[in-house]
Amino acid sequence: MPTSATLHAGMDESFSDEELMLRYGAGDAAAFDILYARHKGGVYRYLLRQLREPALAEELFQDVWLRLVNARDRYTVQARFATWLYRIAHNRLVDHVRRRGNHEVVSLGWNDAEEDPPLQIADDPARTPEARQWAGQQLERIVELVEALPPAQREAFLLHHEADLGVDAIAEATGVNRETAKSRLRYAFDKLRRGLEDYL
Amino acid sequence: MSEARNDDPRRDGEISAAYRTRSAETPPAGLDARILAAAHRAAGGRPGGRKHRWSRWIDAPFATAAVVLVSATLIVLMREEGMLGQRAAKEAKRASATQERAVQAPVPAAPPAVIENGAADMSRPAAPAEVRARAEEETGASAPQREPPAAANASSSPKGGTAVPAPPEPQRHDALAPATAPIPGERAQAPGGVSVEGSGPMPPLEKREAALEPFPAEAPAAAATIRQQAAPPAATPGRAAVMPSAPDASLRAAPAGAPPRAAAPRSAEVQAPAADVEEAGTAGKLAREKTAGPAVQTPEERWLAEIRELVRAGKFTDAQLSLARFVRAYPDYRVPADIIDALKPAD
Repeated sequence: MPTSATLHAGMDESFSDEELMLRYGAGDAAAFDILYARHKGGVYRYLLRQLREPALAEELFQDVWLRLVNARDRYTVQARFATWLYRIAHNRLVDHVRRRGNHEVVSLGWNDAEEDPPLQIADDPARTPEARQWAGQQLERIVELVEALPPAQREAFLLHHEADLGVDAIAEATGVNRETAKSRLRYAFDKLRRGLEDYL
Repeated sequence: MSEARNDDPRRDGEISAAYRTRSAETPPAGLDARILAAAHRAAGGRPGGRKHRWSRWIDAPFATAAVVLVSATLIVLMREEGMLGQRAAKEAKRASATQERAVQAPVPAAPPAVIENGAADMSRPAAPAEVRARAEEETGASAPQREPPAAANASSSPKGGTAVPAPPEPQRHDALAPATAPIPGERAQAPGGVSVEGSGPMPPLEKREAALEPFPAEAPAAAATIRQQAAPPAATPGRAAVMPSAPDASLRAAPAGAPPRAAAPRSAEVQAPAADVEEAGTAGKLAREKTAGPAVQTPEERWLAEIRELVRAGKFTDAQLSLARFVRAYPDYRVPADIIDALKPAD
């Protein structure tokens, strides 16, 4: 088994997340550094997009990673590491939403809304070069559009983009069946496409 | 949703690209530092720190006790084996003395011995079915007969302090032993009869086995128990069960027909069933292969089988690492529950 020094010698790409987590569980702190570097951005943005409050996102972000640290001895490879990590994040998020009761986060809702209103985006159907430039600027708003998605669809979209999870892994991370995960992701894409159809 | 969906991978790709290029927030550096520090602190105590500290107290006494126990068991086993070896040697000496006496007896006495040993029926042309049944009996009996020499050899180890005499010359005459030896039973009789008749050329190995057969036949049950551990599973009834010893049967049967004094038809009859038995052996082998089937087919299954082997060998870390590589290679493959359970840490 390579040592920490080996891991630091630019070989981090050769180790899978699962191997790194096992190494961390075996006491190799350097393995955690690599894991953290790989996933910190995705987890952070996943929480940030869902909560839309940086301070709150940071609090939960820290909590998610500390849960992972505390679970290092019990970690076993059952699926992709990212699926496990984002399941922790998902559970932490759901706990938070439930605990907050009537807080605005709850207003996000955590059920699939069948009749979601279409996303609203400033409309300029003109196809002039100026309009295209403007559209490019509007694309900057994709993040806002994502944040405006219904929570379940947003989560599916974020897991797909931030964690690079496929439909099966999204289903596993969020505790729903494959078809539900698939339709959530599809609805999310549909909405974003419609929201940006004049600009893509 | 009532709206018609319009799947467009290209536009989905653009959406993804647009999102990825515009979504780049990262946690503050202070937060990174706090989390990394906590992770390093936790790892500082080594994984399963509690277990480790506990095991430090328990490891040395436990290891010592285990070594003592294993050593004691080995000593007892070796002593027992030595005793068995001595007894086997005594029996061997006694049996060879008896055989020497039998050999010194007039030569014409041999054919009656054959007859006495249940081969009397063979003087008349036997029906093929009978011969086959006899061959099966022989082969059924010969399976355990092949093992005793190993036990006898094992008992001749230096620890045993005795050596089973393997006289080169009396070996052929030893084959007479079953006829005169006090051990009753088919096992001794069947080969005995065949061997006596087989005054023609006999392979040296076969001769040696035949010579050693009578001794272990009397070997104590303890030796038999030890042998059983190394021996293949007992044959089940039926022709397939005969299969493993079929070549043996043909080897033994062949010389039976060889002597010119022996009746020619009998030779043919005996050899024909032997061929049957061999045929049955091949068929049985095929049948076994068919029933066993290819246990592992796909690379994934082969890999998982290796992981199971690692688990079985107690190499849990290796198994985990191998599974990690497996998950990386086959991210969509559902890891079997038995492997997950096996690698789950005991709480």
